Amino acid sequence: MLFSSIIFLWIFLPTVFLIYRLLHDRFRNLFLLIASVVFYAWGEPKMVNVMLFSIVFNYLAGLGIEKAAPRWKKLLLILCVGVDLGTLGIFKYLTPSLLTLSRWFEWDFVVMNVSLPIGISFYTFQAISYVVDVYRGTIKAQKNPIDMGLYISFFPQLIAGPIIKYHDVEQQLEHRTTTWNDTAYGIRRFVYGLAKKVLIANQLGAIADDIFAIPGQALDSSAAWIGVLAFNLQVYFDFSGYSDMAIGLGRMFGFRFMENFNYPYLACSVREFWQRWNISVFTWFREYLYFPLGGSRKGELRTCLNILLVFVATGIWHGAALSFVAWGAAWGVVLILERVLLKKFLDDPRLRIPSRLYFLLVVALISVIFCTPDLAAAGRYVKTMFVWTDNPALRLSDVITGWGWLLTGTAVLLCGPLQQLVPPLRRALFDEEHIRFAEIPVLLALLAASILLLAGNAYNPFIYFRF
Amino acid sequence: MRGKVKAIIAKLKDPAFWLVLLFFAALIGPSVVWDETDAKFRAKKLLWENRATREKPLFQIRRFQRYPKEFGEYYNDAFPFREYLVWASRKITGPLNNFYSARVIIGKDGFLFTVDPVSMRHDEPGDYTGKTLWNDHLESAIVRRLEHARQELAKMNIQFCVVIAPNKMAVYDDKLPEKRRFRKAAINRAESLVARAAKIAPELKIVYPAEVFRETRGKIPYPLFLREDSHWNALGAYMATREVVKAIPGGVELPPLESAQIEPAGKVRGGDLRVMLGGGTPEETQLYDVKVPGMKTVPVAERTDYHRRETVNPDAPDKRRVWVYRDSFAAAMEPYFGMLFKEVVFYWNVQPRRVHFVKDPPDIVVLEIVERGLAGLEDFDFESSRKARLEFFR
Repeated sequence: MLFSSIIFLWIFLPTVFLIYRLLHDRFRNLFLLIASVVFYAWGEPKMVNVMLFSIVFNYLAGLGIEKAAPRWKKLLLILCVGVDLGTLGIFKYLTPSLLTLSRWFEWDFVVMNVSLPIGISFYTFQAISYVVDVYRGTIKAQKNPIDMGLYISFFPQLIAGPIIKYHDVEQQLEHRTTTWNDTAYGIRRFVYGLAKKVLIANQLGAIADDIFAIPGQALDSSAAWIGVLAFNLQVYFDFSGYSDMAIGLGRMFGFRFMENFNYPYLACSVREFWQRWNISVFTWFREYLYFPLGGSRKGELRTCLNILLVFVATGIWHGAALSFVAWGAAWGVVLILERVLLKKFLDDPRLRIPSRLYFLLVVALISVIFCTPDLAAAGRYVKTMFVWTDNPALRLSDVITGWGWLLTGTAVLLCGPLQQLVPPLRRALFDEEHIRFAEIPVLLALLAASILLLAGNAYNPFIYFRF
Repeated sequence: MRGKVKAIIAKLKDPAFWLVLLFFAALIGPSVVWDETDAKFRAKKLLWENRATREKPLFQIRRFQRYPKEFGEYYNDAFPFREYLVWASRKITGPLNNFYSARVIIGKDGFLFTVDPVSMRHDEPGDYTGKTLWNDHLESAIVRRLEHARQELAKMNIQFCVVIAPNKMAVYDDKLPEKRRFRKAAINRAESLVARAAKIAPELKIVYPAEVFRETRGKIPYPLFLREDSHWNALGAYMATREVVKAIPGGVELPPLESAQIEPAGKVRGGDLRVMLGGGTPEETQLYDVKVPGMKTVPVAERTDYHRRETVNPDAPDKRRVWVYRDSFAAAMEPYFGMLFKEVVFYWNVQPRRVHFVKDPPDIVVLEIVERGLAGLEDFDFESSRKARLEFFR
C-alpha cells in the first residue's frame, strides 16, 4: 500500500487514526503493530513472513547478545548481523547477481526469480542498528516483543525510511503523548509531502521518462539537459516528499522522527550534499560502517579508502546492478577529491557561487548513471550533454510543454532557493508550534489537488482490441 | 460547566483543531456522502474504458493472499466519485505531460491517428515526414541481416517474406486535420527499406502495400482501416494477405478486393485510439469480411498464451505449412491465411531465429511488422539463440 493512493487516504489512514485515538494507551502499540503488519501484508502478502522473521529473530538476538557472556557477545553479533545481511542478500541481490553472471559467462540455466520484499533494505538496517547498539551497550535490549515489532515495522517509515535508530525512539515507544498541535503538525507535513510527490515529482517524472525514452541517435543536447534537470528534481521531490509524509504520519501518532532532507541542492560541495540528502541513511553508514572501519583516525590514505568503501556500500544498498556500484563509487571518488584537492576552495566563502555550480554539475553527471540502463548508455548520454548535438527533427515543444516549463521552474524554486531567499517561509513550513488559520485552506487545496491527480491514475482502459 | 464551555471555545479558536477536523472530514466525507445506488451520483458516462468494472471480492481465508490485489483493483473501479474525479484529473494533466490523449490526432470524419513525437517508437507523423528514416549504414545492416535469414531459410527449403503493414496515415493522410497537415516526405522509412533491399538483396521479398491500399481506396466504398483504432480492418488485412501470397512463388492468388465478395460482419465500439483519447461511450463501427468462392474460413485455435495461434484447413488450396511471426496487425490476416494454406501457425511478438527451425520446420515463413514499429528490425538477428530459446519454447 502506498501513502499516495486513494485506498490509503480514504480507508486505511482515517480508520487507523480514529481507532488509535479511541484506544487506551496500553493497547496503542499493539494496535499500531497490527495495523503496520496489515499495511505491509496488503502490498506484500507473501513476503510479510520475511519481515515477521526479522522482527522475531532480532528481538531474540537482542536479548541473547545482552545476556551473553562477554567472550560470546561479538560472535553472536557477527552471527546476527550475518543473518540479517544474508536475508537481505538473498532477496535483493541473488537473482540480479546470477543473471549478471550468466550474461557475462553465457551460462545457460534458468535463474529462479526471487521477489524483492518492499522495504527490506530499510527494516534490515534498522534491525542491524538495534543489535549493534545492544552489543555496544548504548541501549538495553527491548523485552517487550510488541514494542520491538513496532520499532521494525511501524508503517510510516517501513517502506522508504527514514531509517530510525532504536535509541532515537526507545523512549517514545514506551511514553509518548499526542496533542492537537502534534496531529496538526503531522497533517501539515503529510500534506506537503503528498503534494511534493503527486503534484510535482510524478509530473516531472513523466517529462524525464519521455526524454529518456528518446533513442540515442535522436537525442539532442538541450533535451538531454532538460532530462537530467527533470530527473534530479523528480528524485528530490519524490524522496523528500515521502520522508515528509513519513515524518508527518509519525507525528500524528506521537512519534518524532529525524529530518531526512535539508534542501540538499543548496549545498556547495558533495560533502555538504551528503549531510543534507537522505540523512538517515548517510548517518547510518557513518555510524555503523565508517566509524568501525576507523573513520578518519587512521591516516589520510585509510580515510580515503574508508570513504570509498562506504560509498560503494551505499551504492550497493540502493540497488543490485553494477550501475549502482558505479554510482556509489563515483560519489566516493568525488568526496576523496574534495578532501584531498578542493577543500581550500570549497571552504572559501568568497567562492560560494562557483562552488555551487561545481556541485550542481557533479550531481547532474553522477545522476546520469542512475537514470540510464547501463554504463555505456550513461557515457553516450553525457557525451550528448557536453558535445553540442542538434536534431532539427526533435522540437523542444515535443519534449516539454509550456506547463512543463512552469512546473519545472516552480520545482527549481521550491527545492531550496525560495526558502533561502525568504527565511520566514522556511520557518513557517517547519514551525512546530503554530498552525495558522491562513494555512488551512492552502493545505486543503493541496490535499484536494493531490487526490484529484491520484484519482486520475485509476483510469485503466483496456487498450488492446486485437493482438 | 463554565470551565467546559471555556475549553470548547478555546478549542474552536485553535487552528490546529480545525485542521485536524477538516483534514479527516476531507478523507472520510466522500465515503459518507457517496451512495452508488442514488441516481444523482451516477454520471452520464464520462469515461469509457472498454472493460467491465470489477466486482467486490469476498474475503476467504484460503485465498487471503490474493485479497489485497483483488480488493485494490475493485476499489480502483469503485471509489466514491471516481468517474468525476478521473475525468477532471485527465483534463488537468493532459497539458502537463504526454498523457494518453496527447498521443492521438483527431482527424476528419472521426479518423484517429497515433502520434509519439518524443520516443518516436509509434509515431505515424514521424514516418510520414521522413523523421524516422534510418541512416545508410543502419538500413543496409538491417537488409543484410534479413537477407542472411532468407538465405539460411532457403537452405532448409523454406521461403521467407517480410510484410510491412502500412500506417493509417500513409493511406488516409487526407483525413488529417488542417492544423496537422504534415509535409509528406519524398520517401519514407518503409519505402527506403524496400528500395535498399531491391538494390543489395534483390531476392529478399519485402512487401509494403501502401500504394495498393491508396489505389484501392478510390475503387471501393468501404474503409480499409478502423476509424478509431490504429489497425487496419479485415479488408485491409485481406489486401495485405493477397500481396504476401503474390510475392511467394507457387501461391494461390486471391481475387482483388474490388471484385471480392464483401459482407458485413458485425459491429465494434471504439478502438485502441478511442480508448486512449478517453471520453464517453463511442459510436459503433461497422466491420466487414471477405468471402472467396471455393475457399472456406476455418476457426483459429488459440494456445494457452498469445504466443501461438493456429489454423488447420485440410481443404485449403495450398498444402504448404506457414509460420507467421507477427505483431497485432496480422491478427486480422488469420482467417485469410487459414483459408489459403493447409496449416498456419501465428507467433506473436517474437522474431524468427535459427533455433526455431531445428525440428519440423514449415515451408514458408512470413515476418509481419507494422510500419511505425519498424525500429523493431534494428535488433533482428536470425542467429541469436539463447533468448530465442527462452521466448519461443515458453
